[in-house]
Amino acid sequence: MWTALPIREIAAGCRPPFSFYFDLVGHYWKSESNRLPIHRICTLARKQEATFFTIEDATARPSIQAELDALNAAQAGDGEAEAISLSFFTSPEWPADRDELALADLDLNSIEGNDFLGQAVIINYRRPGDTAFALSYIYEAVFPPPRLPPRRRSRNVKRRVRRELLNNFIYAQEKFVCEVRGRQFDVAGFYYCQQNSFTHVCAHASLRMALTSATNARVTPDYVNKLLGIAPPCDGLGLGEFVRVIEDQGKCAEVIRCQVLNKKTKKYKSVLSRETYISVLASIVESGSKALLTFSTAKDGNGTGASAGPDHVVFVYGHTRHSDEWHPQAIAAYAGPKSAPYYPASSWIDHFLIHDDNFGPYYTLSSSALEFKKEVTAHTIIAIRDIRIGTASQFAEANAASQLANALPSLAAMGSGRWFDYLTGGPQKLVLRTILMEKGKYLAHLKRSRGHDGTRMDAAEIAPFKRLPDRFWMVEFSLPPLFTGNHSKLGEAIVSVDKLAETPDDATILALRLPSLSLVRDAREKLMPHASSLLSHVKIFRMKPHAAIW
Amino acid sequence: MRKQKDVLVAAAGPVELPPLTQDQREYLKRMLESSGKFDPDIKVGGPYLGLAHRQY
Repeated sequence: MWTALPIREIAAGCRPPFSFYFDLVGHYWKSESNRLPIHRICTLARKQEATFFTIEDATARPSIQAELDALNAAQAGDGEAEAISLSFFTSPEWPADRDELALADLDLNSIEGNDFLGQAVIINYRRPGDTAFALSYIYEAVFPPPRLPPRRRSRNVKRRVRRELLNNFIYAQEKFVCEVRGRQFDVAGFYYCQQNSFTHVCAHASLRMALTSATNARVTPDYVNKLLGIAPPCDGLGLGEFVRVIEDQGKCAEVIRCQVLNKKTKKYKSVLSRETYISVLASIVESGSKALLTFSTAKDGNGTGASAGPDHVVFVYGHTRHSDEWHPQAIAAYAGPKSAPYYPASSWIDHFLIHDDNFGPYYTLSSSALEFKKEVTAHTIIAIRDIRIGTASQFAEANAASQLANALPSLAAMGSGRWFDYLTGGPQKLVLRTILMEKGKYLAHLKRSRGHDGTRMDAAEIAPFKRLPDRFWMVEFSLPPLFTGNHSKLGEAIVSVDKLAETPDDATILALRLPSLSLVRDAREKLMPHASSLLSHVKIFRMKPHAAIW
Repeated sequence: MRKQKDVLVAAAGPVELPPLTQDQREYLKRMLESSGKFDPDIKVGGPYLGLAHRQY
């Protein structure tokens, strides 16, 4: 049995000149293990103008006890450990001239919930007979997505509004409860954890982060190892094992290969272009699901070795979008007319929001990051969904692009209005955005949508869409100025998610909605036209409203 | 006026979408093939990748 080391529970001020480097990390991170994640957490606290933090003993928590039992069982003999719960606050209630007080003397009830920035649990472990600590890692951390500090310092909580970061899109956060000396704080965000490189590695960490953030059930490394029959030390998980863990948690895993490995030559070959795999990743997060992204690494981890190391994996849950991006239209224009049949909406996604267990939470991964070095390239995307789908988003988007290009001119006599005439009057290079959609949400979206010119569909015009299946791919289409300027679209192509038995044909298109015209399959599976009173573009669909959009 | 337009649109009968071209079919087949099959034994993660412990 391991021995719990005592921890002095305090609250300490951390405004400058307090040093997170030396006075927090230097003090509480006790081994030579990778300390980049704790630095990242302190960086986020500093950017959000943390005023004080608390230190609390977390060794009594059942999850910590189980973690330390597993770690200790893998050692020869019984070691010593401490588990430090570190919580950050941005409350103005902390007096500027106070350095530290006993945690028991802090009046937590006077702290506003909105002033709680997040909590991390650090484990320090010392092997039997050693004087130095062998391992330090962040067992878990719960922080909301970072927000801008209030414009004014004020004791009036209504004036201390912390604002969303501009153009940061997060569609499905999980709710957590953190405790500090019995006082509970609600947090909506994404779970983070770091590998200890012994009883668990990045594969475990990424599964824990993604599944805990998707289900709120705390997925532990011990559960993963027991499910898969793994005894430490761990050397990674196979893709099949990832799928097994995801499905054991009641979710469905879809594995999308960006590259395939030739087992004879040991060389990887690209199967999806950068534009396509970025579009796949965008579709997953914009549909409210989570993703794991694996990529190659060099053997020595320093980027200089030619031989391949193990793949690393990060957890993806959101994105940023820059509506002023030059390259989506300009590169296609300068490259020539055959360079791309349409613009994926993901072309304007400049970063994905990720947690990397080796570096910390709430990083942004550039959509070009995996194109700079040949040693670090995208290998696989694993989508974690609620349902199993038969056809992938990249197929739905390409299918919609082809069908719209062929069909729009042929529909010219069937609708009216200047937007309809513009769409059907000649070839258009559309912006396409693909979302896995539920019928109920789609019908509600049609009901709420108001055209730029004030027009809208009425209940009778929406009714034919009730024949759609419960789930489908909704491929929104737009034009670049509408998409970037109005954040709006001209219509949708509805594509089946069912697995295809043979070569695709137009049966996979379940419906098309354009200004003034809808086509929906009836009971005989025929595409029937219906007039629509919605004549203009409408706002694109979002799983969740966002305030800070440019 | 609107009802008249509804009648005209409905009277047009079922719509047949133009067939896909051969190039379009082949491109879609490639998109279909990139998903689903994967090698379950491809390993992800391993011991800590050797990042410098004291980069700062």
